[in-house]
Amino acid sequence: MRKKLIIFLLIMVALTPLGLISEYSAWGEWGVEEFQTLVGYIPEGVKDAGINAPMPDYEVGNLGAILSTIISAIIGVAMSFGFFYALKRIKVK
Amino acid sequence: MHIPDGFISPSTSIAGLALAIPLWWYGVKQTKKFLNENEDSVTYLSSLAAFSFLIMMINIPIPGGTSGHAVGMAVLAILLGPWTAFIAISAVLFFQAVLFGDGGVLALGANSLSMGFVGAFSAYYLYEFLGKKIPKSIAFFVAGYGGMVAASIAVAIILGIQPLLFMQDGKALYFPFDLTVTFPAVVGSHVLIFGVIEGLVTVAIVNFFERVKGGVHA
Repeated sequence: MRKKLIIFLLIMVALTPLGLISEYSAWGEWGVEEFQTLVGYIPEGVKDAGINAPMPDYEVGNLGAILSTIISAIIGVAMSFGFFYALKRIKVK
Repeated sequence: MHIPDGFISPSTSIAGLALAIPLWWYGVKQTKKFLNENEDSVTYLSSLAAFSFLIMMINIPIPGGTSGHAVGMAVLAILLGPWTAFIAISAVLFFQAVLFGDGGVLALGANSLSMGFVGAFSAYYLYEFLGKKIPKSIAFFVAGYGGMVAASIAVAIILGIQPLLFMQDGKALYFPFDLTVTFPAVVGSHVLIFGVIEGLVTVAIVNFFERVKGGVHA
């Protein structure tokens, strides 16, 4: 099982740069400036909301889009495994 | 489908968290049971969570200057059960929010409830209801399609109520489009396109995992 899952995840990671083909953000996931174009103002609550994520939009430093995407994908896989291996060890009442 | 922080009011986000926390607590207990079933369970579950993370990165453009992606909610719900699927999707959404700014941190409750809870439970019960009546692959497709559309309805409601509740001097404080816009835009695109994509992904990936899973049982 393990070998097949590893191959499956490697293929999935290799496919993630396909997501870069889409130059548009999802409907309702716009950047702050896009509100100006859409409704003519930026809603108060949208300004300065959220955190400064270390790798915003799956961009890792200045590594370029494809490499950034693949590194982000690998980090995502590592976090998924880390989370559930940790959860298996933690005692929950 | 990932609602960013600031697009919904802090009160909406907190209501989402208040609803999600007890569900997470119960879901984690169910997930622990799954993990302790056999030694391969943790690899199997981690791989499926990683799959959900990766499939959400593959944005697909559609006409109208927008894009979307599959989530894998039905894949996880069918293979892991709805509670463990909900925890796996919530964990993935947490990493996406904290590390990559994809979806809000405060909005994690709302996002987990729509894509995780509503999506996984709708998919699971559709599959449970249909699984023995129609060919399995068709049931997988319908579960993926239905889970995705149900999740999109939840997102459309959460976003669309914002301008009905929070206006100041004629301007929206948070998301500016109401239900008459969010329903056609969010639910419409998922009924026509992303639900179909999720359905096809569900058929392909569930069939693959059924073949490799060995002794793991949900």
